[in-house]
Amino acid sequence: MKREPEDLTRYLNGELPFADLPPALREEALKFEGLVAALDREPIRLPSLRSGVEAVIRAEPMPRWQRLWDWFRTPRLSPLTASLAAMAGALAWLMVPSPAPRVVPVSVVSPVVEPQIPLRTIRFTLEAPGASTVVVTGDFLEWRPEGIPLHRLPTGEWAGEVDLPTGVHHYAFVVDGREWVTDPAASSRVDDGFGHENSLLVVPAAAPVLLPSATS
Amino acid sequence: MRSLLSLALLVGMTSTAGAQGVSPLAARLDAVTLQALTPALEAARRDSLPVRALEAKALEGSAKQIPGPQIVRAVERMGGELREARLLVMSPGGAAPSDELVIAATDARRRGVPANEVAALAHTSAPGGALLMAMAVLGDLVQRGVPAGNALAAVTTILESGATVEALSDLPARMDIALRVGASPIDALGSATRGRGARPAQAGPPPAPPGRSDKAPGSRKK
Repeated sequence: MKREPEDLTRYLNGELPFADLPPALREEALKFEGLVAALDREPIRLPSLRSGVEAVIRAEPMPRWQRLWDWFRTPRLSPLTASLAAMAGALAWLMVPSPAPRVVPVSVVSPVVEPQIPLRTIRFTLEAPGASTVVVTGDFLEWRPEGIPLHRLPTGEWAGEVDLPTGVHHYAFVVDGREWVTDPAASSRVDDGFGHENSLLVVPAAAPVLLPSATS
Repeated sequence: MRSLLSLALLVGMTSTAGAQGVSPLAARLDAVTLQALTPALEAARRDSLPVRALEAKALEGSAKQIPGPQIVRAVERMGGELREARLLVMSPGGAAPSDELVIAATDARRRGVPANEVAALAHTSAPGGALLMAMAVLGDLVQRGVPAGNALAAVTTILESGATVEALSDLPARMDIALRVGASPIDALGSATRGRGARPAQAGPPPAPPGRSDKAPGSRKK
C-alpha cells in the first residue's frame, strides 16, 4: 500500500522513468506535472527604473458607462490630477464619437513606492469563476480596498500584473468587494493580527544573486 | 443626460479636493483610533523601527473594517514584534539593520521560527536580497512542519552553495509536491533540496548564534 506514493515520489525526483510507473499512478503523475507547471512563476520582467509607477491591467473592452462608473468609484489621490483627468474625461466623452480602448489604466491606485527603488512586474492570479470582481491589494497600495482590479480570463481565472518594488510584501485579494481571500497559490502566509492570514511575497532583486561562496 | 454626467464629474472633482494634504491614516481612521495609535507610532519612530509597517497594519485594519480598539491592539503588538526582531537581526557591531530585514524577521517569528534561528540566519554573510528570501523560506519550511534547526540548515546550505535566489524561492513549492504524496516534512525537505546544494535534512540541534536567546524582550507566544 505504501509503495505507490514512494514510486510517485521517485518519479517526481527523476529517479523513476514514467514508463516504470504502475498504470494506476500515471494519471496522478501527470496531475503533479501539471501542478509543477502551474507553480512555475510567470517570468518576471524588469522594467526600467522610474520615479512614478503605474500598474496597467490589460482588459477586454468595457462599456463606456462602466468605465465612467469605475472612474467615479475610485478615490483620487491628487485633486489636481483628478480635476484635470475629470475635465479631460468629460471633454472626451462629450466630444469624441466612440473610442474603443483595449487597455484600462488604473494609475489612480498605483503602488506607493519610493523613487529609486527597483521594480518588478508581478502577475497575480486567482481562480474565482463565480466572482463579479476581483482586486488585489496590500501594503504596496496602503491596503486600499479598491485595490488593483484583475481581469477575467476565459478559463474563469482572474489575472493582473502589478509593478512592485523589491522587498517583502503582504497582500490579499478582495472578491466582489467584500470577501478577503488569501492567495491559494502563494507558498507563504502570515497571520494578519486580525484573526486571518495575508499572503506573503518576496520580490527579489532583478539579477540572480550570486552568493558569497559562488564568487569566491 | 450629458449635462447630468458633467455635473457629476464636477461633484467628483469637488469631493476629491477635500482629501488634499490629509495623511492616509487621518483620512481612513476615526479620530479616536488615530489618537490611540499615536503613542505606538511615536515609540516606533524613536526606536528606529519601520513605522510604515505599523501604519500599513492600521490601514489594513481599516480596509478590513476591523473595530478601532482591535486595530490599536494589533499595531501595538506588531510594534513589540518589530522591536524584538530588530534586536535579533542587529549586527554584532550594532549597525542598524534595514527595515526590510526587520519586517522579514518579524514575519518569520510570527510564522513560528524561533528567535535563535532568525538571528542565526540574519548573521550569515548573504547579501540583503538573498537574506530576505531566505528568511521567508525559513518561515515557509517551519510552517510546513520542518523542525527549525533542520530548516535553518537547509536554507543556509543552499545559500552557501552559490545558488540563486530563485533556487531558494522554489523550495517550498517543491516540498509541497512531496507533502501531497504523503511524505513527512523532513522527507519532503530532503526531496526538495536534493541536487540543490543542501544536505539531506537530519535531526539535530540547530546551530546556535553566539549571545542570542530565544526569549527576547517582547516576543510573542504563538
